Amino acid sequence: MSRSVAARVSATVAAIGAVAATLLATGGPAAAADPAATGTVTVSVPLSVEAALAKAGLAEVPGSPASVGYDNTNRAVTESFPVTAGTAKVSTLTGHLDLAGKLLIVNFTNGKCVTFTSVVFDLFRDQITAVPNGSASPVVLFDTIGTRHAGTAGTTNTFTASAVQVHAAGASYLDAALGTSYFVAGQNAGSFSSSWQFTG
Amino acid sequence: MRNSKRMLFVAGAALAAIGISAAQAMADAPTTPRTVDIVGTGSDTTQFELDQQSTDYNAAHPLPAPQLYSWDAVGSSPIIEKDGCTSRPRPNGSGAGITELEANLKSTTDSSAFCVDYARSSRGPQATDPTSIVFLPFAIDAVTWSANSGGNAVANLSTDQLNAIYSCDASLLGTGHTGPVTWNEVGGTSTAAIVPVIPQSNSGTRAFFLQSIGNTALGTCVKGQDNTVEENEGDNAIFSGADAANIVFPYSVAVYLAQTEHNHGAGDQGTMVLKSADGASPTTVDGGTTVINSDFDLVRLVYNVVRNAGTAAAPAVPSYLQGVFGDGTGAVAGAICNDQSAITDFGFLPFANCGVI
Repeated sequence: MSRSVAARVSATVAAIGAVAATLLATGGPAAAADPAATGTVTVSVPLSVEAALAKAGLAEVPGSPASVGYDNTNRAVTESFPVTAGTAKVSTLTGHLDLAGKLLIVNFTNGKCVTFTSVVFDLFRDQITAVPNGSASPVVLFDTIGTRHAGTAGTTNTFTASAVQVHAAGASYLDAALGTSYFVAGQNAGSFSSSWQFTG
Repeated sequence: MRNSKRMLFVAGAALAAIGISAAQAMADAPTTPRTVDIVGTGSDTTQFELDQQSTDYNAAHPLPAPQLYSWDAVGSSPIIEKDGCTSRPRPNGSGAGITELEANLKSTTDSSAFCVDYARSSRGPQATDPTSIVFLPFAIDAVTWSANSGGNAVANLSTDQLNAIYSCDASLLGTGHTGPVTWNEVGGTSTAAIVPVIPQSNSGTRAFFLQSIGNTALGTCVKGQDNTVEENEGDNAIFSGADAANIVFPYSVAVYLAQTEHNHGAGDQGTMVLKSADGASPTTVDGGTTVINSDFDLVRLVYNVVRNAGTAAAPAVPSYLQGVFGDGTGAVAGAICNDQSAITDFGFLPFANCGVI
């Protein structure tokens, strides 16, 4: 991708993000039973992926308090979700993280969109799940795969994965909800990083 | 920062293992193992799972190849671990198995052969462990408390409440009472005193449970301190005696599921049932199967422990054991980690970093 195209895609995503942030309400609180935590989960989406989405008339945007940014070094759009609670343990690679914010995915070609809330990263299953508007059941949207590292430094826990892929259930749901055939299982969606501390 | 590279499971090997896991698992070696065989002792929690994996391994590596054997924690004692080894008391529990490994005893018929090559352990490495051994995690377990069905037990206890119970000190609950904790002090209706029971002192399940609830000193009301109660068994006479309705007892969730869901040691649980801790159930249903709740707070890893063939800074698995336990980096998985069907069939959850030091 040329630099000008990259810049255009980045600017477009940022603009959509600003609008979406205004439209979307603050994400709901985490499940009450989970210990409180702070931190961030970030999915870095390469510009090539963003460009392919844009070419298909699609865009994905996090809603407040999640945020969108741009990593100029890696030429990737960063979608960051605050960690609010969870049970994730790096020693056993079990548990999950509850994330604030929303994820909006829009199909500009037909005006359809879907908003996901209750975003969760499941460390044991290596999955990102979220609940679509109008439903009570979470959908597995993404798998974290590839080279993965887990660690602790003091009270801070970290987990990274070199790749994020669209999960089969997520692809089916998105295609149906957005009236497209763009999403397929195993599709590249970027890379994953997270860090968190328990505060409870 | 401690980093660990997660290992991708070898699907083909795992599928191949499913085909041979149907063979009946053996308890102990059928005859005294040869000096070339790979022999272990230790944990009660993982003994039946290792029995199955030994059976699977030996079916895939028939004689005269070295065989994999696992002496159960409980059985006739003493035992002769390998040809040419002296008769030894059967190691019962993770601590005893690790001690036996660290003893570095050798066969008199082959001075290069250790009598024990690995230890089963349901406790993790501790600061007091020497650097001459390395812990190889291979599965996820959990520990919770159990009680007799139909007794006075409540459905859930917090770890703070469990600490007060095992400290025999109600004052830790801040209710103004002292002495052993009663059920009505932890949400129950009975005024009877709770009777905490603890497994024998070499039990890794005991060590993990007490560490998890923050207990550093057992109170005098705790029964089983005479080492007469084996872990993960609900059929000891104490569980049906006069205290039956008020007993609490730590239990491996994987072993309980093996006993109640997978017909491995069925009935050994007696009438004990698993209870929730800190508001979370230790089990969940996934695809119609009851499994360990991966969100449960008292989850732990279970291990095989081998001698360190490297250094303290760069530990390594002895080359002759890598085919069984992997190379410690994840690059070579080893038979244990490739035999995922045995791991899940005995109630454990798969661990993504299986075999990685």
